[in-house]
Amino acid sequence: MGPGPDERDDEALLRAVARREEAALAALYDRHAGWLTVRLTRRCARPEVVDVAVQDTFLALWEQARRYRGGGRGGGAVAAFIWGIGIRRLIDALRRDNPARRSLPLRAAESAMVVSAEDEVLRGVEHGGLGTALAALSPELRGAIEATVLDGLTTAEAAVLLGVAEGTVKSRCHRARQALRAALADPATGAGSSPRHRAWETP
Amino acid sequence: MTASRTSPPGPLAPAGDHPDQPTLAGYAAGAVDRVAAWSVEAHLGACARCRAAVSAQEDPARLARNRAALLVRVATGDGRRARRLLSRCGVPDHLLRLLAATPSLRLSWLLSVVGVLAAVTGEAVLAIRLSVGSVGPVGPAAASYAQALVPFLVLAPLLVLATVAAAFLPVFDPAYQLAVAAPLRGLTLLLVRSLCALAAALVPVAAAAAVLPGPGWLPAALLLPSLALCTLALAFSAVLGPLAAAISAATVWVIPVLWVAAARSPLLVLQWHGQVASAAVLLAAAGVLVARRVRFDVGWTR
Repeated sequence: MGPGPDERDDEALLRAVARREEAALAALYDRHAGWLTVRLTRRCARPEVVDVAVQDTFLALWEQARRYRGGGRGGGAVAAFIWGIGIRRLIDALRRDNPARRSLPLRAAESAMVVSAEDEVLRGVEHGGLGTALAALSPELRGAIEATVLDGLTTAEAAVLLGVAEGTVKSRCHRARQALRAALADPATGAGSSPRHRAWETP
Repeated sequence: MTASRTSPPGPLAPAGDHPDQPTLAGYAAGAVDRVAAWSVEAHLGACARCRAAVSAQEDPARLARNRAALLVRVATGDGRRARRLLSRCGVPDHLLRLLAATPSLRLSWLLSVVGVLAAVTGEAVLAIRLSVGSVGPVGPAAASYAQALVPFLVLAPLLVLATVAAAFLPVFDPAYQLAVAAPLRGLTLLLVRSLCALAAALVPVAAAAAVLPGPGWLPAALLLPSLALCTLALAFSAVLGPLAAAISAATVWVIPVLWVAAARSPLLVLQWHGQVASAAVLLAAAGVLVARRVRFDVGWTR
């Protein structure tokens, strides 16, 4: 290992990576590989696929760091950028793993994902009626919503991730939206029982 | 990286808004349900401190392994466009990585192209001189063409051998240290790279053979002797050093060819006697390679 953690902030590290500075890439890896691995593992339970995706993500950073356009709120944008690459590298790794799906069209642009309106809503989602409504969905519907809304994937990409046909993703999203609309319109139906999602409120 | 007291670079979410430690640990372990995980993830996007806390939950050994793999891939120029293209075409990843890590393959290619150009030019000069010198009917002219082919016959398989040798001699190949760390048997590694160099070398040699005066089967007939010669060199290297092996194999080729060329017609070397002999050598050498494969596992190029 190097002489200790790099103190530069994420954007500075990314600029250094664009200048082909390997130490900066290693520092970015040390800072971001952990949570990226955790977060990708939630989408794909196979560690060997996730490992490849994590490596591919940082390799893509190495090749394309200059495509980062900054933005949003300081350093958080870099994490979102890395996540945007990571989730697509995971899809690619899954595609390679399953040659039948290799012919799916690739979405080329890894656009920097900025903190979106969805994120704002989701922060603390379990407090509100939306949380209860989401919790009432079946796991399949929630998975489809997660892939398309939260991860911002196309239906084709979501289909690879979820291992189902593209049409299935579309119909699940449709059903999920209907269920959510119904539950939010009439909170009494969805918001029954005990609060299964305890808030992480600090005392 | 562990979650340090002093906050890491990056903006923090408003205080009091952080998920507590059990929630983060549960998220990392996959124990919290999906909806709670969503809000953790939405928070992670904006909070470096919680990212570090989640990162600390991941197995450090796994992260270290991926880190090492990543740095090797960066150092070997993985992820370039050509490589991605081949990968899309279905070439296995680990083979691509090996080939990308062999700068000497470019040298091999250069060597064979330059060598073949030189040989062909020499041939052309020689053939013209001999055919001008020979007057008369078909017989003597054909014989002199055959004589003119001798240098090419001797050189062509040697060129192929040289390019293959260049792919594994440490003198030419700064990537040979990778062999020690490669997740393949040493012999497999050697064969993959040799085959690649062989393919690169055979193309110009076959093209030259097709251009030269001589029988139409000449390019095809060169194939088996070249292959046998390279395999022989690899087999020798199970016993000798790589350089000595390449030189010995070259000698084994040159002496009989010159002898046959002097005593009888040089093309005999490539007719069926020659092909049978080549096949025998190829089989024997392959047998030696397989029998002595352990020899190639670690650091055999020293």
